Amino acid sequence: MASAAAGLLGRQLKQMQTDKDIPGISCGLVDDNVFEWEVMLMISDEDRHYGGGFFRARLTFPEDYPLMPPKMKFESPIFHPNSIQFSSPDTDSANLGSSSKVYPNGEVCISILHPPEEDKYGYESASERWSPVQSPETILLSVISMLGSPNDESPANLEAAKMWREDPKEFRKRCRANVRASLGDE
Amino acid sequence: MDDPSVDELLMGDPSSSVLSDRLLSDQEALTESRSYTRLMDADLRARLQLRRPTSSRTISNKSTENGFSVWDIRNLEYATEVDDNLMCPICHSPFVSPAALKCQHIFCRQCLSEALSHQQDNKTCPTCRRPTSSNSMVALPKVICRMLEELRVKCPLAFRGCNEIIPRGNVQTHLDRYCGYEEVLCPSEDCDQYLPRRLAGKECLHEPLPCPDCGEEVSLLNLNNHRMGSCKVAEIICTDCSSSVPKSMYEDHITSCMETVLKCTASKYGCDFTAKRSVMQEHIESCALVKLAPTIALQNDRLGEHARALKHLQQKNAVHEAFLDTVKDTLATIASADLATSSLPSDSAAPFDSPLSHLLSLHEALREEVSRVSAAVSDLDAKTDTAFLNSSLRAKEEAAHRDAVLAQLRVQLQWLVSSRLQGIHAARAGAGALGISDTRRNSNDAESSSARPLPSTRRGSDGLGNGGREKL
Repeated sequence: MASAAAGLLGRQLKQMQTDKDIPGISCGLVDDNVFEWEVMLMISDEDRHYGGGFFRARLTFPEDYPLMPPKMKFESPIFHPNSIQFSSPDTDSANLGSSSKVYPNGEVCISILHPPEEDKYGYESASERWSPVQSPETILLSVISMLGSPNDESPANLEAAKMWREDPKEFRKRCRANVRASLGDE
Repeated sequence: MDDPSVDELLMGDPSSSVLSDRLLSDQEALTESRSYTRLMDADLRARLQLRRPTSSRTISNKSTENGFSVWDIRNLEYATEVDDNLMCPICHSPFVSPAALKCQHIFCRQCLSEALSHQQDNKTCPTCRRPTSSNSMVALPKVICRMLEELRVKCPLAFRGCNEIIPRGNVQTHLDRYCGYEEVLCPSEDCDQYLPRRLAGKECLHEPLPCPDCGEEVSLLNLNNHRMGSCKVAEIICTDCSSSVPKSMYEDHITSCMETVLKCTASKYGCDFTAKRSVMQEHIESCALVKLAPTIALQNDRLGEHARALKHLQQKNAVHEAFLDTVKDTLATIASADLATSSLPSDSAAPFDSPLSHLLSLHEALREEVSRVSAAVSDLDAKTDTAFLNSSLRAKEEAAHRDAVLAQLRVQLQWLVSSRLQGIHAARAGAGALGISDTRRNSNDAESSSARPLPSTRRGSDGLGNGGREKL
């Protein structure tokens, strides 16, 4: 069973590495473990908030992939309503509401990454959740589009969601700071 | 990878004639034992069925279970590229016993039932999420299943060296009966170990034998590996100088053997010279390319650096060009919006090279418009003039007519007044004698005055008649 998932992931990784049609995504393995992917998202300049940024993220696939979704976690700091912000532990606990604590820092919270059988938050219907026909490619494309248009209905970072709604200027400033930091990482 | 064949085993051991004789006889026995093998295969298959239900073939092709390869149909390597439309959207490999849902989405049966079993009570199609149920799966037509089973795949034991390419449906048969790299039970009845089918003769190859070089106990199957690997004593014959060298020394020998034919060190920069190592040193001292080699390498590095920088710049340039295009587009849309609002009756759609020419043409169009308007105005002027003239002429005639009627009326009034006056005078004459002469005189006056208006009455009636006729 586990090796079926490994075979599938190996094939998908190979396909993504050879496919030239996917702009702005590059991926590789962490410690040669096919269940741990390191991906680099290069955001196109057209994006208002994160354009031009290079964001590192990590995809962790479960043993029963593709029946269960992988987890995705940003490793570059990113201020976004749908991903937990990197911050010191004290502000962390102050910021985060009830449901968000489930996620460690940087974890991406979008509906297609939620397993099909449970809905801890009662926000989204089953139709938006994980389906085994999704692939790493579709996940990453969804995440890139999430960066462009956050879903503030089920925020993981309450502060970011609030700012996104109420103070777009300040929000943009924080995003540009992320982008500059991500370029400095290079 | 390199499992020793019977021949290799034979050649690797010139010293032990006993062993080689045994192997030779074994090889002859191999041909004779085909029938035996076939029997054994049947036996194996029976055992396989017992041991390995077909549904549990989902372990990596690298693992073996008691010598028999267990393989995963989804990890097979396809010999040709398979059409994307034949790929299961869940496991991303060509369909295995495909099943369709009511919404006509197709999956491997196993993938689909696993996916559905992970869903809650309301089962939906993994692709389109339309409601469905696990028992609404429909198998695909046999033709399609057969075509899928005929896809050509590489043998799952390719990693051991099998180069066979077979239809997917025949993989199990290939492994069970034909693949030379599949492990089979040792033909010897006393031995319960396994060996590759291509080496399986009548004899057990697992029996420990002393290595002809070091005397260590090694099975015949592993002899060649032992002599190439762990055996310290075995000698290897150098292919270049044909002297036999102990294996431990061999590494050193190849790097220093004077007979080895080498290429010039500058061969990658175009020197074709090849010679034995003994002569090579002489060549290297005189070869111009060898002397140039460091420079060329440096240049190559620089070129590579430049190419990378160029690529980077090109990417940047592409980004800028894209930006420029968007700017141009927005400018064009703004210009066209301007044109639309100016609502010129003609030529408005014509493209303009510059704002100046645009303005000039606008000006020209406006001038034409003005001249057209002034022409229309003068036209209208003339029209109103004539209309005015016509109506005033008529009014004049009517006024003249009225004048005539008025004059006639005045004459008639005068006549009436004078006749009345005559009547009054006559009455006075009847009353007094003195009054007769007056009356006469008055009547004469009356006669003369009454004689005068008559023609004028006639004229007036004439005039009236004329006026009426004119009115008609």
